[in-house]
Amino acid sequence: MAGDVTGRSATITLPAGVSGTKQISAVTTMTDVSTDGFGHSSEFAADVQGNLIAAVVPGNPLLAATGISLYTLLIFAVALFTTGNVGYYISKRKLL
Amino acid sequence: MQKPVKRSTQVIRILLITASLTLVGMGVYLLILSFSPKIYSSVLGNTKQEQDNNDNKITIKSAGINVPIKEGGEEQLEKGAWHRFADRGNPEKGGNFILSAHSFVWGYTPQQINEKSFFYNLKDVRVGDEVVVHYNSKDYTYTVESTFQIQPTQTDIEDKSDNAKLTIYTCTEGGSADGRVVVVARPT
Repeated sequence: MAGDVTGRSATITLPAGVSGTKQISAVTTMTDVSTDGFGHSSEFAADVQGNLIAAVVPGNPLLAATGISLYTLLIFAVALFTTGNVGYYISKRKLL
Repeated sequence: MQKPVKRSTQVIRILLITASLTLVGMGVYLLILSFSPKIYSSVLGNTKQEQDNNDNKITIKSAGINVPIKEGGEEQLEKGAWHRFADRGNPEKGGNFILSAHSFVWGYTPQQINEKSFFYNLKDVRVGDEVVVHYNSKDYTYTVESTFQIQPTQTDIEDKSDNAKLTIYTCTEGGSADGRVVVVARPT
């Protein structure tokens, strides 16, 4: 990260499949043109307060989907059966 | 002038009779399809896919259930009872041994439906029924402790458990958005 870092945040992402205790350490440095400290190439900046943000773990919000609606099929079957019978009744009663 | 009119009426009547009988036939066929797993299990016995004796499987004789247990992802629902969250339990290690399978799957023939509607009869399981799980060449016997229905969002049935138990579930007759039939059994 370069430039004015005031208020900016950096994110470190752990690799997948890591288990157990994890520790992350980070060192912040800055470059300036002054000749104090460690010189003008690089020197340690002020301590930065770290924030720990829990990773989002995919959950199982729904149980496994294990079937279609039998009721819908039954309603469809009864509708077909009834419509067919009504049609047959009309044709036999010579309503046409 | 009247003859052509009569003929056309006759044609319409024949077409109507044909269409009506076709609809009635389709309705009857759909009714047969709807109950085909029940017909297979009660009339013809359990004729689901051939199983190797070494396959892991779950058997509930009282409900005519004899289904292979499959490890892996959701696609295993097409092949048998899916062992969900394998890290949460199994017959060897204890914990919550979770199995789910289709209750009713669409097919064009009764055979197709019967082959994949593994837990169609799970709703017929009663408290006290015996469940036998063949797992890694060993038989484990469970006794049904409770049966109930829940909403699809009630995932707590899949929580980890310190005590060994078997959780079996499938969709209710209203489908996956409606609810789940759950059977909980404890080792005998």
